[in-house]
Amino acid sequence: MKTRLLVALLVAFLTAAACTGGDDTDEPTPTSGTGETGGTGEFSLAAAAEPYQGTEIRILDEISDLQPVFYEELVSQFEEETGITVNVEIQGHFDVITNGEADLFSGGGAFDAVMLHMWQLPNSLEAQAVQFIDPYLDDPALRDPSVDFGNFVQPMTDETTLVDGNRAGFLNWSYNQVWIGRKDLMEHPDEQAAFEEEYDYALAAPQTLQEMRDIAEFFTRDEGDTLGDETLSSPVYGFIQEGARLGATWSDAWYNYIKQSGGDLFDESGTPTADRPENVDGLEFWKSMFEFAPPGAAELSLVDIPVILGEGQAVTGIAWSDFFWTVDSDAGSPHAGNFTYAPVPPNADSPDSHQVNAAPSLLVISNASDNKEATYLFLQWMVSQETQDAWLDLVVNQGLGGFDPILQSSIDNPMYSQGPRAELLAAIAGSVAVGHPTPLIQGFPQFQDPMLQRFQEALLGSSAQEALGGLQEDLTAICSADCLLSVG
Amino acid sequence: MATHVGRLPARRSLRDVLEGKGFPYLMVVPTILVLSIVGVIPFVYTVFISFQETSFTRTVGFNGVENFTSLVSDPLFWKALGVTSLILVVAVPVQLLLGLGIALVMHRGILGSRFIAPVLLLPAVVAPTVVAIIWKVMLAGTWGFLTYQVVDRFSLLERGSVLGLPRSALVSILLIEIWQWTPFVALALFAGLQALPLSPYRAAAVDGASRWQIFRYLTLPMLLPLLAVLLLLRTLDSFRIFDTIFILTGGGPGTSTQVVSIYLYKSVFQFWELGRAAAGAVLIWVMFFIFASILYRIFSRRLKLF
Repeated sequence: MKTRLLVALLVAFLTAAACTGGDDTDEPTPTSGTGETGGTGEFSLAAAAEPYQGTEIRILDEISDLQPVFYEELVSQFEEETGITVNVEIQGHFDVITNGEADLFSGGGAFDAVMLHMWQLPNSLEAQAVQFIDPYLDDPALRDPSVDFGNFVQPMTDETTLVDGNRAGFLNWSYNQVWIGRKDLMEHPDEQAAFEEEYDYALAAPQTLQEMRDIAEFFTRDEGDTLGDETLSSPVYGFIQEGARLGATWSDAWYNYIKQSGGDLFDESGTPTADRPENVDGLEFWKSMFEFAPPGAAELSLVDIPVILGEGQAVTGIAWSDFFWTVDSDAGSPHAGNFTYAPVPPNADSPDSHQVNAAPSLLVISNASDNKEATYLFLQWMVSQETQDAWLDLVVNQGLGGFDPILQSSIDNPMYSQGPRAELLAAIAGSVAVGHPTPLIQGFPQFQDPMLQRFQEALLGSSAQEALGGLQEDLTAICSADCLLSVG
Repeated sequence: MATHVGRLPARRSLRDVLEGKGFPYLMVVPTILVLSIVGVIPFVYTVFISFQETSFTRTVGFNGVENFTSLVSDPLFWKALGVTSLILVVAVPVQLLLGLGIALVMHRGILGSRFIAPVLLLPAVVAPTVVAIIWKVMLAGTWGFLTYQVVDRFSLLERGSVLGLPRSALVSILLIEIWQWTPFVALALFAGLQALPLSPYRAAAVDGASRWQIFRYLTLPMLLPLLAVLLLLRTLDSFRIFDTIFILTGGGPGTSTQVVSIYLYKSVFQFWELGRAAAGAVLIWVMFFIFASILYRIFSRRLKLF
């Protein structure tokens, strides 16, 4: 307690000193160790990188709508300024997990930095495969004082990157989910009139999960029905979300529904509590949404959902936001330009439990890297205000790639609410504000597997009670108490 | 030839060895070397790891049979074994029966049979991954070709999609396995039929044997050795099935199509339980060794085939 107080005072002093230098932050300062906040002093990337000129570093990252343009357009600036060559390999979701872990755990050192989904972090820490960045944050020769953890989006940043007071890396992207709907249908006068007559409130982006279900039910139509101006030649479904045996089905059910019903799969002490009554309510709600989904929903993974929405087979859905940078662009889908977005809404029966499924990732420095300092400089440059602003500019003003904010100042940037993607960016900001990643759990894939299995059993006929009862047995068999790592 | 008493025999040159009894052994040395490197050494190492406690990619120390006991006490392992056995018990006999039927029809020289042969081979030469992708497109819920034209049109499923329901997913995998490998069995048996001697058939024709009697007492016994080999090969291949299921269902829905190979894959690449996965591999090898031994005994002693 005393130590934390002293640290807080020191941080406050440094912050005040920074304010007199004209570089201030209004955000609360984190209570973690020194080197976390911005400070005074000039920082020159070129000067910091001088000892590492000629170094070649290799980065493994995940392909998405966000990354390729960034690496193509902006990384050369870093290379020119520092003389450090950056080789980036971007791979698909499942490959980056398998190959990244294989390289980290084996100590192969093929990559200097590897992208980890935050649920991968505990295994990587146990394997001693990750170089914490605290030594570099404390090194004035390397630290850019303008990179301030008080400016990162919270609670996502600390819940992802801070373990027992130590910083595992920088947040890479604030991967999040949003609600998506077809704007042309939501704004169609006939549809609006019919909806209001049936449900007694105006058709608009849902403010609660219950409204989301009403809208899903309303837009589920059979062959021969009318939808907008069209008579349907095949059924259209009101809602779509992941249901497959793989991907992120487990976190959808857990975060968007179970936790939003006031439940959770673990209690605060880390003991499995899968069969709580609130969890049953949440899982039943998740299950009920599939009544409005296409018949094949149980085999749809995260990459299928944007396709289904883009093709118009479903009118609304919950999906990972980054897909829609492409789906909602020219030639991205038949309905490009016709999507509307909103944060995943709260549960009206438990409004204080509002949270959205988030899967942030971080780029960690491999413990086997021979170029840790050069790698740190690159990762720090990636998250700097200047780079993030340049990235935002690419997206908003040049219409290239996509953007998931990691800095609060990016969201506060006037540029953020401009341009043709303003609505998507606003929905992302709303989701990020209440976005929580999975808790850090040792050996998490072993927990993930029974979650996927049991949730899918609930989808295919078991009751939520039975499924969660089975899940409680499965989780307890893996870990009966103290299953969560300490974050913060 | 004169003998020279007291003179030592001439030294054999390398050329003598190469052209003499040593030649066959020399010819198999490269194969043995390669097999040792890619087969024997990894196998021995797997057995070693199965008795080790592992932490991610490192071995920590000897832990006896703990990996094995942990494995056999996992209900999911036995369920995976059950699914694998089901595929074996259903798919392999159907492949052999259907394959034999097709081979007999082709052997009768029906019109176009010589052109059918290469076409029949197509499913077998296509990589299992490609086969899985093709069928995933065919059976995809709502937009898959077969789903739309057959399943939905004739309302074969009340609810759900082919790959989204446990029973239909498992049936689909069985049918795809049969579709892919029956042609290979048919072609192998067709070649076998072509190689059978004609004289027994002539004699049977002279004696007035019926077609069924010819098949039952001549063709089938003469084909038995080939059938035995095909049974062994198809059993081994079906036991190792992975690509098709991994792409089509990932072992789902639930664990309804999770076979042993998928279970072990997850143990390694998701859970990083190398010791346990190695124990699984060793256990499966032992099971199959016992099975192959029993089969060999039946074929060699009771059927006097080998």
